[in-house]
Amino acid sequence: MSGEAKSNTFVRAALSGRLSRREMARRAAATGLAFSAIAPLMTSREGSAAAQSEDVTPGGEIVVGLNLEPDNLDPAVTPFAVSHWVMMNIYDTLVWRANDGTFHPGLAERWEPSEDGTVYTFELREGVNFHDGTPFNAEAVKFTFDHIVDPESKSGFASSLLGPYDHTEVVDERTAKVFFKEPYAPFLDSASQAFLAIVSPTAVQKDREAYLRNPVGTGFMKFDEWVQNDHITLSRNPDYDWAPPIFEHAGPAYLDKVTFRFYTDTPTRLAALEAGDANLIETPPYHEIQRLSDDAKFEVNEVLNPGLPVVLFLDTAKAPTDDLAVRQALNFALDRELIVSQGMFGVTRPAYGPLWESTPYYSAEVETMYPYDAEKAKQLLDAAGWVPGSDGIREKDSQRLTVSIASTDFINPFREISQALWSEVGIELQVNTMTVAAAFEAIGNDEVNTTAQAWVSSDPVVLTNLFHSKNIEGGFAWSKYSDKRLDELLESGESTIDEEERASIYAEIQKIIMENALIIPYFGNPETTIAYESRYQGVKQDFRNYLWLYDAHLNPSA
Amino acid sequence: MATRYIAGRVLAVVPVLFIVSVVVSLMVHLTPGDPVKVMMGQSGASAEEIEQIRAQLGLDQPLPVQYVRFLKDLATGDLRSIRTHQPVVQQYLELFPNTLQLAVVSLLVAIVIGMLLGVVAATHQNSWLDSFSMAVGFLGVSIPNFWLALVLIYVFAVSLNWLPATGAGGPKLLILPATVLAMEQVALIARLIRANMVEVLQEDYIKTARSKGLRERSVQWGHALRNAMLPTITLMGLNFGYLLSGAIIVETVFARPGIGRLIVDAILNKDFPVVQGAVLLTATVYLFVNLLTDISYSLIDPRIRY
Repeated sequence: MSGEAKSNTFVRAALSGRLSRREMARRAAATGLAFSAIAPLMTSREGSAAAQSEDVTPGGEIVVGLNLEPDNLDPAVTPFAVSHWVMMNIYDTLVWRANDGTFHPGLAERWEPSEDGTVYTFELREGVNFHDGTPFNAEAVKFTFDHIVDPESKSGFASSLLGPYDHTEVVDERTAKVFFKEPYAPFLDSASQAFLAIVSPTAVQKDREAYLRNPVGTGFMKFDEWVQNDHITLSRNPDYDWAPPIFEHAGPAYLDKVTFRFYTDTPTRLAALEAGDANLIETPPYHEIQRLSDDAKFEVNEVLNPGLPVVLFLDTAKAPTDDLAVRQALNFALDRELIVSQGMFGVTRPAYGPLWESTPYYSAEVETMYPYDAEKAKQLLDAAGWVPGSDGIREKDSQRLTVSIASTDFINPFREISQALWSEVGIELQVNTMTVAAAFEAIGNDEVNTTAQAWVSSDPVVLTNLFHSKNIEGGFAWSKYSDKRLDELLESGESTIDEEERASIYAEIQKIIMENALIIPYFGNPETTIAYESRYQGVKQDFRNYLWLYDAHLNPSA
Repeated sequence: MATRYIAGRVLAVVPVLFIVSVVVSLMVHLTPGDPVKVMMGQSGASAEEIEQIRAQLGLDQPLPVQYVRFLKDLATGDLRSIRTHQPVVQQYLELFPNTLQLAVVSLLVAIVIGMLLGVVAATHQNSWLDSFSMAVGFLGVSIPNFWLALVLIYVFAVSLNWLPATGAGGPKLLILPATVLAMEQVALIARLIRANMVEVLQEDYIKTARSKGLRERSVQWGHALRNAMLPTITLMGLNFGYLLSGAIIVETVFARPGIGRLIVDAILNKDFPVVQGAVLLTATVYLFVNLLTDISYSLIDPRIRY
């Protein structure tokens, strides 16, 4: 076996969770990889799981202020990230993804992909029950996945996370085999998201409509009540006697109660935190983050979402963004550092490609493709025949170089600065303010040249929904760019299990997207930055920046 | 006699509601935006998935078909939100008491303050008290309500910590939102009462009352005000509709559950069933409030008969 193949097999085995520490060290040496480099791959089941911190007094409550109300709490049905925030407490997933990207046991103690990547065998944890007393077993796993693809569920997001799912086989109480029609590389990542969390078959089958607002999981919190437009309360599950090994303790959660409240208005959300109506809020106003950080009463976790960063999509089917030179000039003329520091108060960092740097298979190659260079922008436009007119705005064949934007609240922080930077190189930005719904429609119908988007994703397969030609008509591929090679790459990226191969496929995809300037990347998305009272400790955010309250507790000295 | 009037008014509600339902349906369907795309636009979906969900929700049907389905769902109690699958009527009825509470309390506050200002201004016509009272009213109307709301939250909830900032519930949670909502109406009520009182105070029967020896206070409040109030009542009946919907901003800023927020969010999300259902229900409430207003005339002014 070649060295490369050996390390591939090793990495696959390590990710599967089958290897003990000793085995891992031995095989790491055999493949020439430094032990320290792969240490994060280790499953630390023998490690910190059992240890309970001595100086933590259980008890207390927390009120979390979200910026949107979930639509429902059935993981198969809801497409919203905010639902994930709530569901993470009520449900468990088969596997957990740690913040370094590695996978660890959850409800599944071990897992093994088949050689061709179309079958995943899971060995499940014993002795776990749902909040309604139903035992957790392979049947529940099968039910959960079938529930997702059941047309009755009208699943939006969860079904796309399952990809080419075929069926699940219940081998025995503790073993489930999940079959796919084609190799599906993002599966483990999907299985680590609450959208694929395991639901109680009894509860769903009893009344699926009622289940939407009465979730039953195996998680460390039980669902109590949901008062429309006001709050959702969860209380501690006293029977939770284990924990995924990456948590800091095992057994029941520390907090007695978690309440979620909904504040869509940003200043209100901040006021709620400051008045004590909420103890933790999502997305504080960006210009207040510095002040909150400096205040000893509060803590701020500044995080940036993996997946699609904040970008503007450029419609290649509409003039003048059908001109490559124009699209590239728009990128070169953008001073991202300025926008980050002035428009976003420094709470984020510039982005240069369709994936944020923390996304697996991010390619750093994009970082040097469009440095801020106004002169270069002007040269490109000159060469393409765009001549500066009397007011500085360029023209070609008596057409003004006007780019129209469907502007929503989301775009406000960087719209004016962009407009100013672009007029310096002779591009005019025509602003059309509208609601998000109208903006989606406008770019879909080629009524405007550009609008913004940002998606959380922990797998680069998200690029398929955004750039594959099959998603141009009626979908989100707003660049309207149709290229056979790009389509092929996107398809094989989804079905290639081999890590290195996948990396090079996605590297090429990112390069093609940026070479053709299908988007203008702006900066990492800081929407899931949280601010909370510093008397709470152990508040964490996971790989996708969703709130993780299992280890949260009140500071004993507070 | 009165019963025939009332019965007639109640029957008239039906065609009005029908027209409302058609207009709202047209408006919400013909404005740009696709609810499924809005839902999926947060996390992502493929074109195929979007189309599938639209078909499952019946959104690919022609408009008249969708309208009939809306009526049918409403009648069978199965009208559901596209976004949350929750029954619209039930949601509305759960949230309505909050908005009603806010509307009524703010109306009462506005009436009390407005009356005081109006009477004071009318009885001290053209004096500094007059100008002052009217100025206070104008202030209330000119200050943007979302600004006032935030300022009040910051002063009373954040800095002084006297009151909670957000939510619905007991009287404490009503004080700030009701104040904000009341401020906008005070000017209107005060002005109207002042104008009508000034007129009424010139009437002969006022002179008669005074020469009878009645105390001035009794003249002003018992006789003059009562007559001056009629136009104000009309105004408040009409205003009630505004209150129900104007509560939107107050509800959003104070994070109060209510139908204002329900409708606005539904409009932004293009959640057709919710918009159509909630607007229809609100129109029904509005029509009955106006009916009550008209009936109350006969209580206040015995000369008015139906």
